Amino acid sequence: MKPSTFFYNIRQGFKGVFRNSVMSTASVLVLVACMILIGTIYVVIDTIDVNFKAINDLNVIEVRLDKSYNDEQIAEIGDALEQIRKTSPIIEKELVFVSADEHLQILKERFPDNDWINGILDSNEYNRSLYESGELSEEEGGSVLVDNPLRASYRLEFVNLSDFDEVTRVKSLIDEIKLKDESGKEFDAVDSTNDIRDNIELYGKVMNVKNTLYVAGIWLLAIFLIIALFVIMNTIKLGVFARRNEITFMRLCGATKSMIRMPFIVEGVIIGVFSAAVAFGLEFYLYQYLLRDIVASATNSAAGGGIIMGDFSGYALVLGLGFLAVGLFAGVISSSVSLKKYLKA
Amino acid sequence: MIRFENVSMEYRNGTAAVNDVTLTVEDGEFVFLVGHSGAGKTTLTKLMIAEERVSSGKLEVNGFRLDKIHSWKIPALRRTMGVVFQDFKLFDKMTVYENVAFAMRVVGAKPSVIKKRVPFFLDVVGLSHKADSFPTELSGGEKQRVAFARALVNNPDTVIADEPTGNVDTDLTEDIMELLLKINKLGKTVIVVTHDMGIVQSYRKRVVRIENGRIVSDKTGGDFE
Repeated sequence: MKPSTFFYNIRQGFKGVFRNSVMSTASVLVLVACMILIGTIYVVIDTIDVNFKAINDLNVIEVRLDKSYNDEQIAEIGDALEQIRKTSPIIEKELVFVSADEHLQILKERFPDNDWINGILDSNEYNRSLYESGELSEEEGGSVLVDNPLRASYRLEFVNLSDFDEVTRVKSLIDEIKLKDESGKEFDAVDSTNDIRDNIELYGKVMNVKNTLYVAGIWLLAIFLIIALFVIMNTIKLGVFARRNEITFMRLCGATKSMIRMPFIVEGVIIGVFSAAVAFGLEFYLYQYLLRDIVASATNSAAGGGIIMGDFSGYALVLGLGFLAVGLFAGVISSSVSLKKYLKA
Repeated sequence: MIRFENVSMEYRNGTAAVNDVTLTVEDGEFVFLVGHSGAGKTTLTKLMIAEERVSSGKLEVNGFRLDKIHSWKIPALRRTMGVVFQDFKLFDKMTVYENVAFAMRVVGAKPSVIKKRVPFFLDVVGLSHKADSFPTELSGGEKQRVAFARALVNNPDTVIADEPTGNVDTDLTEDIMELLLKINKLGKTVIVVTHDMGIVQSYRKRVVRIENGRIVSDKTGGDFE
């Protein structure tokens, strides 16, 4: 295409947008609404994803160890779990041992203002200082630590919890681990009710919610895209109808289809790109100044931990390109379809 | 050259608009196409510009075989033709200059070429002084002249004028016809579709008469009986 023709088409496209200003505005509004909904659904799904990853123990089976077990018995259970880990295709990570003290520290990090946790840690610190200054012997204190109610545990992390059969098999194997008492008699090392903690059920529910959101998001995307297509199509159709004599004349002069089509496609592209820019700006505002504030104020008081929401810059590229793609698709497709019947040779 | 060989054209509902027409128009000829309303004159011109497609027979226009033409070649065919419509089909929001330039613009002509050719053809039709006027400010005859300038500006081989005097006053008819003769003298083939037998007799050119989609006479010298 010659540069002069290219610029002529661009000018004609802009003229078309302003000539049908009411319908152009309607198209932009519908497209913007559609894009913001799509963008918000994407952000919500991603936020759920990020937060699940942060919680990080939804896909973990934790085997809690009885406080009466000695180091040897703990190691024995570890060996048995290691054997189970090796046989399961859905456990890829190494078996992790978390001591009772480490559990306490983890809780402290998660709930820094919790009085009960802080009380235990403070007493512990006090005892340590007495022990170090010689005021409290090891025998007198019984231990450097005050009695920590938490138990040590082993953690098995699954890569895929949707394989429920395999998860059940692993759990039953854990349930069968035996230890021997002093008389050599075997007993169950793990009580399936009290010692095995997992979030399999919760994980399943969460996954269902997430999948529902995905499906709903895709449906909403499709529905709004169709609505947007119809509105833009009507805008372009009005333009085409108003210029039907021009189009007929162009055809009879020997204008090619692409020459006739181009100004209308440019018109659609302008509407699409402009809508994408507006939607991007609004999405930024909604996310950065509204959604984050609402979520922050709603979750601030809940157990000391809020929902993690990243900065908008993390979404900027995906949303920007996504909006642009939706805008261009809607613009080009709707103008092409609107013109079809006027372009018969 | 335009050559119809046993050309027939039927609409989808089965109505035969053109029936077994055989006709040859040589390059540079001036031909009147006459007949009553609904006789098939307009369909014949539509066939020539591939606005309608041939049902049977062979049709050749300016080197294009229209009975077997691919749709992508039609724009090239139409660039060899200039069509003047009875209702002028001028664009009211464009000036006279822009109306003529538009015909060049839509076939991708360069702005520099447009700037040279448009004033030249406005001069040919005697409307240089009206270049900046809008169609609503022109008389019927002037509008028709703009339509002629627009038909000529892409340098077509053939000019088809559909009832060119139908919408102008009687005293302007002669001017329009003089313009058509001038165009013919430029070497263009001119086909005038009309039912105004007065002008047909006055100009004593070749006359092809159509009735019910058939050619019933083809004579020169203004004789149309």
